[in-house]
Amino acid sequence: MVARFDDLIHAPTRLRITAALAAGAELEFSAVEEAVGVSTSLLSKQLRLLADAGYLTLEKRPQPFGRPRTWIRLTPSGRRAYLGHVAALQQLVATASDDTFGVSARRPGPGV
Amino acid sequence: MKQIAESRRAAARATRRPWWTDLGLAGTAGVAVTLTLLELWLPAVLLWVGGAVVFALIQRRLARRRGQVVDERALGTRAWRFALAYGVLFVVLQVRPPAAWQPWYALGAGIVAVAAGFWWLRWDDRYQARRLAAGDFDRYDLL
Repeated sequence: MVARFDDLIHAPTRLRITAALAAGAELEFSAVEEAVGVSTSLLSKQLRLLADAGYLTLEKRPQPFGRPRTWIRLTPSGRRAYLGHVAALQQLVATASDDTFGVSARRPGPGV
Repeated sequence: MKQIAESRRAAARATRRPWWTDLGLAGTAGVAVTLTLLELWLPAVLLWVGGAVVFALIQRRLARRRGQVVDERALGTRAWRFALAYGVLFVVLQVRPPAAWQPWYALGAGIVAVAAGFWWLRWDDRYQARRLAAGDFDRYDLL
């Protein structure tokens, strides 16, 4: 995975959203809301930004009963961007640790 | 990094299967085992098929996450756990108790089947949640 800092993903809420979405192939809107702990309107706004950048897709699916539910999925480019950003952050942390303590504090990352 | 790890954990926790659907499915299997031991074959089959369909639909309706880790490690772990749960059931079904004990034995076997089934389903769900939360998988193994 190529470490690449991503300005769009770096904002705390969007970083938490992408991290939550990386824990599954696709997640239902309310599950992301619960995992990230933000209001519905803020989540919708951040999701729209990420969707406009092509990092995720939003799909409203009808249910046999009840209201339609929205499913959110990271696109391959979104997953790549997220992983690259996490790798860049890990490098930053490792560099900062080296500078501070003069020792390597590299640890294995959270993976995919 | 802490925020990332916490978000992943929270997402895995929020999207776990509800325990009561697992209990319902295991309960259906337990009652079917009891009916089988009482030699009520047709009700047992009908109950099992009907219950499996109903609970599969409920789980699908309540699902908040799609995607499971299906690498060799996950499949292997699932298989040996299933073998363990099925082994318990197999042993229970092989025993032929005296006729006077039969209703009680059938009832006890049903309870054992519920416990084994519930344990298997919950363990599998917990295993998936743990690996998804840790990001312990290759991205092509998430299906």
